[in-house]
Amino acid sequence: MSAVPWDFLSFERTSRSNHEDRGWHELLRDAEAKAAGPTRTMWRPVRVRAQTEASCSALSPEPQSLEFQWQPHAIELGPDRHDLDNLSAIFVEIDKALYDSQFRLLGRALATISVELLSPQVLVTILRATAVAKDRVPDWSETVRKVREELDRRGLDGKKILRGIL
Amino acid sequence: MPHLNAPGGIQPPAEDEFLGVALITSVPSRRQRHVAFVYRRAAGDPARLSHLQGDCIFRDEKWQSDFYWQTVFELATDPINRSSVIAFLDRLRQSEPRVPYGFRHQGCTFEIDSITNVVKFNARDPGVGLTCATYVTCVFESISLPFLDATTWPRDRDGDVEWRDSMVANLERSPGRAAHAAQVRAGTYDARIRPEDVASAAIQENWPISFDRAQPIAAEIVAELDALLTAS
Repeated sequence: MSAVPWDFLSFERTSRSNHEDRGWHELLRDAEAKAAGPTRTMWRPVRVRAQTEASCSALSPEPQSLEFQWQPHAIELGPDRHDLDNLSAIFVEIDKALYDSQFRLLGRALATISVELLSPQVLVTILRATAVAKDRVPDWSETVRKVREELDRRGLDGKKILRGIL
Repeated sequence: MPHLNAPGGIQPPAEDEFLGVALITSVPSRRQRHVAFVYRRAAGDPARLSHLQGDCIFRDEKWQSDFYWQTVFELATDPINRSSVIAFLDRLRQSEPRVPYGFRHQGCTFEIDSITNVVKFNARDPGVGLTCATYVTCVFESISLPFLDATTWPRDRDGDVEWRDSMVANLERSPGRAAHAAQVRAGTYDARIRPEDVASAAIQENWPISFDRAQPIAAEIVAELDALLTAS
């Protein structure tokens, strides 16, 4: 099997504990085919560190949950306020989760967000930070639906605000 | 009525978050324009310029009054998305990514180094990079905010070939950049989006903007800037 530079790979990390995951070699074969094909615009990080089966067992256990550090402050600010540093922190934390291929954890964390407690700026920034990986984050479309409903409930034009995401 | 506010005249609004576009004729002898974001994080903060000044010269600096500027009207009435854009620019400001110059940005990424939290620019393929104009478009692309429809831009308009040759020649003369220049010269290229195209699109509403909508106002902006050059 020809070597594929690790930074051209874009796939979910295989976990030995998840028997539903496709095998490492199948994913690598698909990634090679993708790397050989036309490049596509990939503006945000959806790459992962390559792993071998042998190294999987040496890895520290995958975290069971993802707790957003920006969230307490965002909740404290309330549904009508935001601050820029908090929005910046959303980009940082979500990008890190994507870089570390924590797609499932990210999906689970997004599912627990109480949209009614957060400002529209926070809600939209969350979606715009994750949109690049929308096909990989479980239940991302459900999060979009919840945010849109919340925006509409507040009398905002959810369809216009979420353009490019819907 | 001019599309852009003149330098030294009205300053970007100081009372709130602000996002605008700024334009300057950077090389008068070649009528070469340069485009940037102008933004303000919050009321009372200084206005700032965020732009790709040249090869690996990302700049986020205090507002310079010799730029022409205008509000990004699409986001003036959409403060929610405006905040997301400004937050993203703020992350770039803190990170100062090293962004190579190039005519093709397919395959480029901004990514967070998960240890340092610093945003880095990763050009996956050799020879890819950004111009001042595609830096602006890529900021919007990176947060999935449709800005302009690049698929409607024509390839090789009058002057584009000469412009690319000129830019590559500049790269070749830059110390330590010969290899990158060779890759840019040998590589493929996207349809050129000009600084005035970006300025035109940025001041119109109902995004994404097609070439047919951008072009007339871009031509007027160029005429405004050229008239001012002639008069000065």
